[in-house]
Amino acid sequence: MPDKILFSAPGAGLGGLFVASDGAVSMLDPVATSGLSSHEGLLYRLISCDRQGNPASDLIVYDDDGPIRTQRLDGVAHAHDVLPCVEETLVVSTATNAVYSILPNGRMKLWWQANPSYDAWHVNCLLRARGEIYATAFGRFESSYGWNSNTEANSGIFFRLPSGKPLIAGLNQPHHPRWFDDMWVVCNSRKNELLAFDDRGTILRKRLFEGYTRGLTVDADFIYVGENQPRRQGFPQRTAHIKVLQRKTWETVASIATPVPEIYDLVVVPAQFASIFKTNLWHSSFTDTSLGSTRRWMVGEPLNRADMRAILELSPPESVERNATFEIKCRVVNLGREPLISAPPYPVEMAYNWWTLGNQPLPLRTVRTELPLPIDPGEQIEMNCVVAAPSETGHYQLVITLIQVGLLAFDQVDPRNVARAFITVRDRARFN
Amino acid sequence: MIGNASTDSGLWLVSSDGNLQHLDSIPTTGLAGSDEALYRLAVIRGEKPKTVLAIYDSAGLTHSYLLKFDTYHSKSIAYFDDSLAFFHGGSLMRLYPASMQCAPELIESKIQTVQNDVSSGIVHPVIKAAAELFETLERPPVFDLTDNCVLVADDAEQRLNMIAVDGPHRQLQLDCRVRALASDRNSIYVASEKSNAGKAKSTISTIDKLNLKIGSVLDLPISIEAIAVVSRRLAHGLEIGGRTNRTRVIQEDQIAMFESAHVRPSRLWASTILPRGLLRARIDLVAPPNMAAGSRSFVPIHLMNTGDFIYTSTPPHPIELCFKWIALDRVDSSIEGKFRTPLRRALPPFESMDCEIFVVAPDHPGRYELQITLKQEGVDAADTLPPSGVARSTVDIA
Repeated sequence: MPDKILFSAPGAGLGGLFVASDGAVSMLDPVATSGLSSHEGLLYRLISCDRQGNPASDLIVYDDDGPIRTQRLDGVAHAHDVLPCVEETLVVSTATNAVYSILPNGRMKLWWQANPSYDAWHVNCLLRARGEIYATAFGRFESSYGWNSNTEANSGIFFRLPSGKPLIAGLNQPHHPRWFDDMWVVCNSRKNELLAFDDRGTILRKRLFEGYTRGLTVDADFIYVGENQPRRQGFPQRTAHIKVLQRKTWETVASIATPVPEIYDLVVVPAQFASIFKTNLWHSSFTDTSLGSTRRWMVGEPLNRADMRAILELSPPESVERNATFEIKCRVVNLGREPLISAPPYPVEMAYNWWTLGNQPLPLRTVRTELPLPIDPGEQIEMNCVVAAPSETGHYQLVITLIQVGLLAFDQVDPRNVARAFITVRDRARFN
Repeated sequence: MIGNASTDSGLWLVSSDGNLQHLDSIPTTGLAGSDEALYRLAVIRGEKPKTVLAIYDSAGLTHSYLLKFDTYHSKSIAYFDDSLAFFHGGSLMRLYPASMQCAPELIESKIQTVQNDVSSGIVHPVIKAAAELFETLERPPVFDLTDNCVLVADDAEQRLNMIAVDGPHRQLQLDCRVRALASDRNSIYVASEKSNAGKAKSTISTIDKLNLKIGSVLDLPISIEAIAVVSRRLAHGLEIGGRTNRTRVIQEDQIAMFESAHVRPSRLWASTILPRGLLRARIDLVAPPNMAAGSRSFVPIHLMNTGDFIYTSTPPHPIELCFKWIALDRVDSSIEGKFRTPLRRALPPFESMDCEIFVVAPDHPGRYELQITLKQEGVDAADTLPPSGVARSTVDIA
C-alpha cells in the first residue's frame, strides 16, 4: 500500500488533522493541531494551548492501532513543534521562546529558553540532523511580539540548539528546516519560498510559491510543501494546497487542494496506520475523560452596555523586570445580567495597559488573557492575568479591565470597571 | 473524598456527607490513590476494548497510557511503595508509573512479578505478604495494601481479613459481598453490593482501623467496581478531568454539540467562501455630520441581506462590516478602517436588521466620505460587494 500524507491545520475552529491520499483530502478530526512527527513507527501529535494563563498543551502518541499515550504539557503555550529523539522528546513552547524535554518517564524539564518576554523570538520548528538539534525562529528580539514590529525585515534565523549559534540568517518567518540531499532546506515562509542552503549559508536552490510556505516533508521521490494563504499584499487569497515536487528537480508534479486556510505540518506515514485513517479519531482516544455536568456550550453574544459591569481586584507584585511576562492573580466578579465568556464571536477577555505616572498611556499591548471559565451573573472567579512589562524601567500604573473583543472595553462603558496597581519596572537582576 | 467507579456509569465523586457527583461515563475497573495522584484503569470501548491507565493530579489528567495487557479481571489495584500492585496471571504484579515508558512494549515490560524481589529479600514486607497470599488464591482478590497489613475480602465467608506483617491477623464479619476496598490513615472503606431491593444499589461503609467498628454507612444508587480515597485538591483535579487544554476543550465542546445532533461537522464553524459576486446587501447609513479626529464611535446602520446565503460572522471566513474613509478635499487619499464589526446575529436572505458599526475617525481634520460595506474575511478584494452594496455618507472631521 502506498504511504499517505497526514497534515495538521491550526486555529480553533479552522483546523484539525487531515489525510491526503490519491489527491483526495479527508478530515480525521476537527481538533486544531500544530506539530506532527513520525518516529520509529509512532506518530506524535501536538495540540497547542493558546491560553495565556496556566497553559497546558497536549501531546498524543499513536501507534498503528490508535492512541497509546497522552501527556499534559504544563507551561507549554502556543506549542508549535514536536521532535521525538532517542532519549527524549522535545516540544517547542513558542509563547515562552522555549524548548522543553519530555523524558521517557513522562517528566518534563526546560531544555532551552531564549528570552522570557512573551513570544519575542517566535521559535517554531525543530530538526535533528547530523547529530545535532536545530530550530527556526522569526528573530532575536527582546520584547514581546518583537518579531511582529517589522514583518518585512529579514530577521529570521535557522540556528543550532542549545548553543543558539545561527547557521543561516536573513530569513523571513522561516519554518520547517530539513536536511536531505546534502542540503539544508527551509520554508522561507513569508516570502512564499522554499530555499536550500549549504553549510556556509549559500543558497543552492530556490522555489517561489503563491502562498506562505509552511509544512515540509520528503519521501524517496517527492518533496511535499504546504502552501498556505499568502500573508503579503498582492497575492490572491485561497485555501491551502500541498505542493508535490520532484525531489530531484523541484518541479511541481501535483497540487492537492485542502479545505483549510492554513497547514501547519506534514508527515508521510505508512498506510498501515489504519486506525488513524478511520473517522472519529479523536473520540477513540482517551483524553476526553470529563463529560456531563461540566460541559457547556456557549457563544459570546454582544453584551448590552448595562451588562458590562465587573469588579476586578488584583494581587500585584511590587516590582517586575522590564520586558518580563508575568502573571497577576485577579478576582473577577460579574455584576451584569449576562454570563461573561471567552468564546467567539465576541469573546470577553482580560486586557491591560500601562500608564506613566504622568498619566500617559504606553502603546497598547495585544496580549490578553481568556477567562478560564464562564462567569455567571453574580458569580466570581480567581484567575491569572498575563501581563508583559514595559521595556523601560520606571514607575508605572497598571490598569486592568475586561474587553469584549471587537466591541468595547468595559472601562469605556464605566471607568469603575478596572483594577489599578502601581508597579516599579526594574532592570534585570545582575549576578556577579 | 471518595472516588468510586462502576463499569456501567464511569467515575463518581462521593463526599463524606454522601453528596454524589458524576464526573464522566468512561467505564472504570480500577482506582488507586496516592498523596499526589489518582491512578485509574479505564476501558475504552470499541471493536477491540482497550485498557488505559489514566493518571490525575490536582490540575487534571496528566498522563494516560494504553496498557497492552488485560487488567479487566484484576479486580483491584493498590498504590503502594511507588508502584501499582494488582493480581494478574495468578500472582501479584507491580507496575511502576514513575518509570513508565512511552513505547507499549516497554510499558508491558514494566510489569514485574515480585518473586525475585521476595527471594532476594529486598521487597517491602507488605508486598511480600500479599505476594505469598496471592499465590494461594484461585480468583482475583478484592484487596488493598496499607502500611502494615494486607486487606483482603473473603467473598465466600463475606468477611474482611487484615493480614498484618507485624502483629496478629484480624477479621471483620461483614455479611455482604465486598466489591472494592480502600483505606487511609485511620479508616478502611468497604464498598459492597446492597442485598435488599430498593433505590440503593451499593453501600460504602467506613470502618475504624483500630477497633474494626463500622462507623458511617452511605447508601448509593450506583453499582461500584472500585474505590479510592482522594484529597480535596485531587478531587478538584478529577473534576477538571481531561479538560486541561482550554483551546482544545472549546473545540471538543463544539464537537460534542454536533454529535448530540448526530452531525459530523466538516468544520466547527460554518462560514465558507461565498461564490464570486454573491455577497449582496443593502446598507442604509445615517452617519453623524461631524466627528472628532481620531474618535471612536458606533454608527447605526440598517442592513438587508439581498443575497442567497446566510451571512454569519463565524470562522473560517466571517462576513463582517468594514469601513473606509475617502478624503474629499484631497486626491487619491483613502484610509482603510483597521477594525471590522461582526454581525451580531446570522442574517438569512432578505432579512434585515438594525445594528451598529464600530468606526474610528481619521486622525486629520477635513471633509471625508465614510463608506461602509460587508467584507468576507480571506476573500480577495475583487470579490467584495458591487458599488450598490456600499453605503456612503459625508462627514466633517474636526
